Amino acid sequence: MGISSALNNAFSGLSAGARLAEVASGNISNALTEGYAKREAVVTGRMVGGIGMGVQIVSVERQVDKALVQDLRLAGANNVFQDTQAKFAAKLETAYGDPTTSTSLSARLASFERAVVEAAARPDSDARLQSVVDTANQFATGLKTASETVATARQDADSAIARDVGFLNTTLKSVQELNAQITRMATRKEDTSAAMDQRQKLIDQIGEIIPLREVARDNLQVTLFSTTGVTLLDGRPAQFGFSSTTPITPTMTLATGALSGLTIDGKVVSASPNGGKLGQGRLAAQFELRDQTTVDAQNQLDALARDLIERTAGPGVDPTLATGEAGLFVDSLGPMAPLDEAGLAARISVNPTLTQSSGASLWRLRDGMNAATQSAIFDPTLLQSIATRLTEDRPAAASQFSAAGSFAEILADAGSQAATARLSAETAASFSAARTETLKTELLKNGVDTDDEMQDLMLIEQAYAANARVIQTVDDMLRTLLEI
Amino acid sequence: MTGISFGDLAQAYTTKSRIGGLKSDSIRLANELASGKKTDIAASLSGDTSGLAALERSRQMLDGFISAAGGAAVKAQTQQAALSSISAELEGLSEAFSTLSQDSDGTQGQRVADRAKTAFASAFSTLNTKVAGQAIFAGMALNGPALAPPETVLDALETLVSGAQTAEEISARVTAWFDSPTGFASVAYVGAAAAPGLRIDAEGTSVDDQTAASAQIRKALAGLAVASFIDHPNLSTSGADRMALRDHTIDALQSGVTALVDLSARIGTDEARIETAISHQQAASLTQELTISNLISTDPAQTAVELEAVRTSLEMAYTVTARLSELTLARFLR
Repeated sequence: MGISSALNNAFSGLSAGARLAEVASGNISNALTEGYAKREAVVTGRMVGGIGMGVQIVSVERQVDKALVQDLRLAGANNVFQDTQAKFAAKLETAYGDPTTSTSLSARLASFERAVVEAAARPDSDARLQSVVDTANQFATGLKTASETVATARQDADSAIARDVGFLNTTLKSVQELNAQITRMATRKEDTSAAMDQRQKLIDQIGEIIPLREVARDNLQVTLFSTTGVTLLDGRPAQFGFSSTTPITPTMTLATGALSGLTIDGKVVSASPNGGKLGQGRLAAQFELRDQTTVDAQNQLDALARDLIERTAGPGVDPTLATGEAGLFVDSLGPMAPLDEAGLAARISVNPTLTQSSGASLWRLRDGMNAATQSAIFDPTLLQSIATRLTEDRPAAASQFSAAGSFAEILADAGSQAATARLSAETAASFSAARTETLKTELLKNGVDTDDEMQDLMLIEQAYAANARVIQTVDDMLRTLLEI
Repeated sequence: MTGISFGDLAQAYTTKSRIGGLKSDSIRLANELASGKKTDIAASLSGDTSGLAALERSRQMLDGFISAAGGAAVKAQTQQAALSSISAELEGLSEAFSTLSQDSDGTQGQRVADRAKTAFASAFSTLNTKVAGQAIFAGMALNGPALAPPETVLDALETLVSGAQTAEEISARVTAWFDSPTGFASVAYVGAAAAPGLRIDAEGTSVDDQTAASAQIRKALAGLAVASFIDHPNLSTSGADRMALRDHTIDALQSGVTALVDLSARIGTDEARIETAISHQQAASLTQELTISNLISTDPAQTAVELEAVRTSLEMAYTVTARLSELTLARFLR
C-alpha cells in the first residue's frame, strides 16, 4: 500500500499546513491585541494502528507564562493602590498651595496678618479696615476650598467603592459562566483559547480591585482567592455588599455606622489596607481614602479653623465679647462648641456683622464686634490684639500639630506635612509603576512577534508546496502505471 | 519557538514609555527654563515647605511694618515741625517781653499782650494740624481737633484771673489751671488719650504717641497764656507790678521752650528708631527675597544643558523608532 500511504501522508501534510497557516494568521491578526496569548499548534506524527501515517495537529495551545501573569496582577494592584493614594496626596498639597503663590493658604494668611498690622497703624482708615475684612475673607475661603477638595475626594472614594463592588459582583459571575463554558467546550474538544483569553482579561480587571491568586482546577476551571485568603470564586462567586452614601458630611464615619462597610456573603469584612481582608488593591485604597486619609486631612483643616476662631475669640481680644464668643472669625452655624469641630473648616467665615452691611460696620474692628455705637476714638488696641494673638505660641487644640506655635507656623507645618505626604506617596507609586512596567514588558515579550509568524508562514508555504509536489509525483507514478 | 521571538507590543510599549518619559522631562525643563522657577518646589525642599512659607510670610510682614513705620515717620516729622514753630514763637515773644521796661507806656504793653494772644491762637492751630487726614496731637481722636478754639480757652482764663490782684496771683492761677484736671484737660484738650505704642517691627519695637495734653506742651501754652495777661486791668498802673508779671512771663516762656526742646528730643529719639527700623527691615526684606529666590529658582545654565541632553535623547529615540518600524520581515517578502 506504499503509494496510497504516500498520498495520505501528503494529504495530512496539506491539511496540517492549512491549519498551521490558520494559527499563524490568527496570531498576526491579533498582533496588537493586549491580553491575547500567542497560539501555538502542537504537531506530531500521526499513528494509525501503530504505524506512522503522516502528520497531525494534536492541539492549539495558548502560550502564557502563568507565574508572570500572577506577578503582574499583584504588581498592578499595588500600583493602583499607591497611585490612588498619591493622587489624593497631590490634591491635598494643591489645596494648601505652593507658599510662593499668592493663592496658597500661607500666602493668604500672610496678607491677612499684614493687613491687620497696617490697619493697626491707621485705625481711622476705612480702606485699611476693609482690607482686613477682605483678606480675612480670602483666608476663610481658602480654608473652605481646601475642605471642599477633601470632602469631594471622600465622596468620590465612596462612589468608587460602590462602582467597584458592582463591577466585582458582575465580573465574578461572568468568570463563573466562562468557567462553565470552557469546560463544556473542552469536553467537546473545541478550541477554548479565545474563551480563556477573555477569562484572563476579566480576572486581570478583578485583580486590580482586589489582589488575588488564580488556582487552576480540573477541566480548565479556575478558582480565585484574594491574597489574604478570602474566596472570591470557587464554583460560585462571592457576593459583595456595599451601599453608597450621599451626601457624606464630615461627621459621618464608618465607626458611627453612618457610612457603609463592606460585606462578603453577608458577613462584615474589614477593608483596611493593613491587616484587612482585601489586600492592597483599588478597593482597599478607596476604603483607606474614605475612612482614614480624608478624615485625617479634614481633621487637620478643622483644627486649623478652630485654632483661628479661638485665637480671635473672647474678651481677651475684644472686650465686647463674652468668654469664648467668636469675634472676627465665626462658625457660620453659630457659636462654636468644641464638639462641633468636625467640618468646621467648611463653615468658617468672617463675622457677618462685618460683611453684611458692605463696609458700614468696619468701625467694629476698632470698637468691638458687639459695641453698641461707634466711638469717635480710633483705638487700635483690638487690631493689635488680633495681630498679637495670631503670632503668639498657643498650644494646639488638636493632636495633629507637633508643637505649639504661632498660627502661621501651625499652618506652614500642616502644608509641609501635606507636601511630604505627597512626595512619599509619589515615590511609592513610581516604584510600583516601574515594577509593573518591567513585568508588563516581560509579558508582552511573550506576545505575538509578526516577524516570527512570517518566518513560520514561509516554512508552512514551503512545506505546503512540497506536499503538493508529492501528490503530483504520486499522480505521475500512478499515471505511469496506468499507461502500461 | 518561545524564547527566540519578541512580541511586537513589547517593543512598542518600551518605545512608548521611553518617549513619554523623555517628553515629560523636556516639557518640565522647558518650563523651568522659561519661568526660572523649579516646577516641583516641594520636592527640591524634600517636602519641608514650612521654611519657605515662613520666609514668604516674614517678607509680607516686613512690608506691612515698613508701611506702618513710614506712617509713623511722617507723623513724627510733622510733630517736630509744629513744635519748632511754637518754640520759635515762644522765643520771639520772650525777646519782645525783655524790651518792656518800667518806662514803657500802656500801648507797648497792649501790643505785646496782643502779640501773645495771637501766638497763643497760632499755637492752637499748629497743634490742631492734620497730616494725611490724621490729627497729630489728638491721641486716638484721629479726626481731631486736639484743642478747643483759643477764644474759648482765653475766655475761661479771663474769668479765672478776674479776681486776681497781683502779678504773682495771675501767674500762679494760670499755671495751676494748665495742670488741673478740671482746667486745661477738660476745657482746652478735646482730643483723646494717647494711642498705645505703635509697633514698627515684628520684634515689638514701638513708638509712643504724643498728645497736646503732654506736660511739655501744657507748659509752653501756659507761658503764652501768662504773657497775654501783661495788660490786665487789675494790675496797678505802677510799673512795678507789670515788671513782676513780665519777669514771670519770661520765666514761663523760657521754661516752655525748655519743655518743648525736651519733647522734641523724645520724638527725635523715636524718629531715629523708626529710621533704623525701616532700614533694617528693608535690608532684611531684600535678604529674604534673595534666600527665597535661591530656594525656588533654577540654574538656567544647568537647565539648558539638561534640556539639550533630553532633546538629543528624544531625537535618538525618534530615529530608533523610525528605523525599527521599517525593520519588519513583511517589508522584505515581496
